[in-house]
Amino acid sequence: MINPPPRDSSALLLGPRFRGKPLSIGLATRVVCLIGIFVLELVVISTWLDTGVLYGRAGLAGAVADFGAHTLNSLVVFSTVLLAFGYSKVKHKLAPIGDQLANASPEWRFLAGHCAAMTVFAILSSLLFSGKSFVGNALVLAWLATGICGIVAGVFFFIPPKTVRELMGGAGSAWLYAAAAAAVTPALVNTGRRLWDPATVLTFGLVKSILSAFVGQVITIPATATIGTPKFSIAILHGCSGLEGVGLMLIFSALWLWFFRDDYRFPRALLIVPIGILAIFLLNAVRIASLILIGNAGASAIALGGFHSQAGWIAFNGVALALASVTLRMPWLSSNRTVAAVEEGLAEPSPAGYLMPFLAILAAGMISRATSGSFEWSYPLRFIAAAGTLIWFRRKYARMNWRFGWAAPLAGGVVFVLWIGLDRMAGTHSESALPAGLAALPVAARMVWLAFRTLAAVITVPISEELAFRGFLLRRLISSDFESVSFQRWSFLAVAVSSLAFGLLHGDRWIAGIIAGVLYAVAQKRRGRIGDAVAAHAVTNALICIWVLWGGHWNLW
Amino acid sequence: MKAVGMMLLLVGAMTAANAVPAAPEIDGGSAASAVALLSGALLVLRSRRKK
Repeated sequence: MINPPPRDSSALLLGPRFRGKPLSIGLATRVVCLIGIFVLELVVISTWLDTGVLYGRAGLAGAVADFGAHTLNSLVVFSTVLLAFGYSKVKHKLAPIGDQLANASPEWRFLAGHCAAMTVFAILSSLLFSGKSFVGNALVLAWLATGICGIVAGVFFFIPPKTVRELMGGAGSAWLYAAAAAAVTPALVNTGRRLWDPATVLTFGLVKSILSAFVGQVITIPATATIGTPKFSIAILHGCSGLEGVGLMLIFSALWLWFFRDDYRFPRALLIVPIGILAIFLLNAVRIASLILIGNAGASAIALGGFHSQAGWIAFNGVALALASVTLRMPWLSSNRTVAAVEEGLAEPSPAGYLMPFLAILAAGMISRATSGSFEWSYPLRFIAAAGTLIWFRRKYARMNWRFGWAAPLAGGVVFVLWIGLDRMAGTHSESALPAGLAALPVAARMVWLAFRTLAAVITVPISEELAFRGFLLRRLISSDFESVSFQRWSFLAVAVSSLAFGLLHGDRWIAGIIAGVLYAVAQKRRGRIGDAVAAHAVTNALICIWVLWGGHWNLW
Repeated sequence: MKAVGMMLLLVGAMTAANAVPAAPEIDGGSAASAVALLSGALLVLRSRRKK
């Protein structure tokens, strides 16, 4: 008997008729489009409307000002929790729904309804937020009603009402979790703010104790939470009190234990939550004390620049990774199955060879920035970390096709033109600290820094990023057995999500990043070679290097 | 991909709590690379489990 081939995730989501074809209109495509449109509209609305003009108003207008931000926060939490937990409840229904939707055309009357509702919503918004005194409860109600109608019509355009009912009915307890999370969000945010003062006092005391062990004279002004040495002192603001790290750690550890609950022994595994919180709170005090000691040593630019912005993330990532890896190896906390599995090692396609060079760049970048002021003098660390990781996994890469054709450099050139064009359209950027930083270096050190920066841009960054985004993420979104997926395989979801992730990592150049991601994916798909994507990426970066070094456009670095 | 889903939830929660924009301890400008680093590292860590 011949077993039918297993259905991969793209087939489940896109439906059989469109399997493997780009721009199909299966469920995943519809959900991605829906989220994309809603996020875009939300960005426009939140940029355009200022609820501040409604503060102090009577009736519903005042309520919008008072509770609008909280409601929006709760909606974001509600949607993410519902999507995350609801997915596991309805995933068995996605294959038949995907098949149905792939054969059905969208209902255009709902799109017309969405456009009409949003047009009326825009008109009512301009009246409501005009600051005029004639705004009454009826106008606010109409504004809310048109907004809700716009949302509902938008959802129904992409996902038919019958399918929505089916998915909503199958989500079960996910509704309860989402509603509970949304309800407690404003209370948690407000409670967190009330804890700022006591947390600041506690952190102040901890920092004082740590500093006393290293410097003879610690200067403290408790009224302003100012602490330091005669040479360098800082004020511990609410945001530095340690509560942000505590909040993130609380969420991380709770989610970790929930998602991987089968791997742990309860209730003892719950100890991970307070251990993580305590560790991150203490590390925040160590961070502030270190910052003062760095400033006291004469490196105030590093203390207040890179170290200040990076140390918090380094501490959070360190604690989160340590908790995740160590607790899985502890028989007292983990189930026997998990400990045995961890000790036996690799048994499924490992993403390590694809992800580690990119992760090495990210980790080295965090360390490099933390030890820098406005000029990242230790940038060569990124190149060395990536090159070392690439050499470590060289045997794995030997099996890949690194050749490339003429179209790859062409794609790279197109991305370069778009990159520069979009950068110019975006307008002026803040003045780059690079020229001043380079000018302060001796000539030899300047040449070495520029050589490493150029080599990283043209060699290690393209290889590492293409391995991570096109080699791993794009194919992993098509199938969990990603190494069996041809480099020529495409799905709308895989290209969209991998390009979006690639774009978001390029900061305020995210639009250019997304377009670049799509074009590099096109280059890879054409011949099914990762070499084409790498070559296209390398050409883009090489041209940007020339543009920077020749034309002095330092803000592009 | 549970690890990635979990990190998406974390980002959603951060957005809702307004933790990112004005956060001296947790710098919003570095959030993308920090979350990417953590997600990727967790993916590699979780892949070291037997099917």
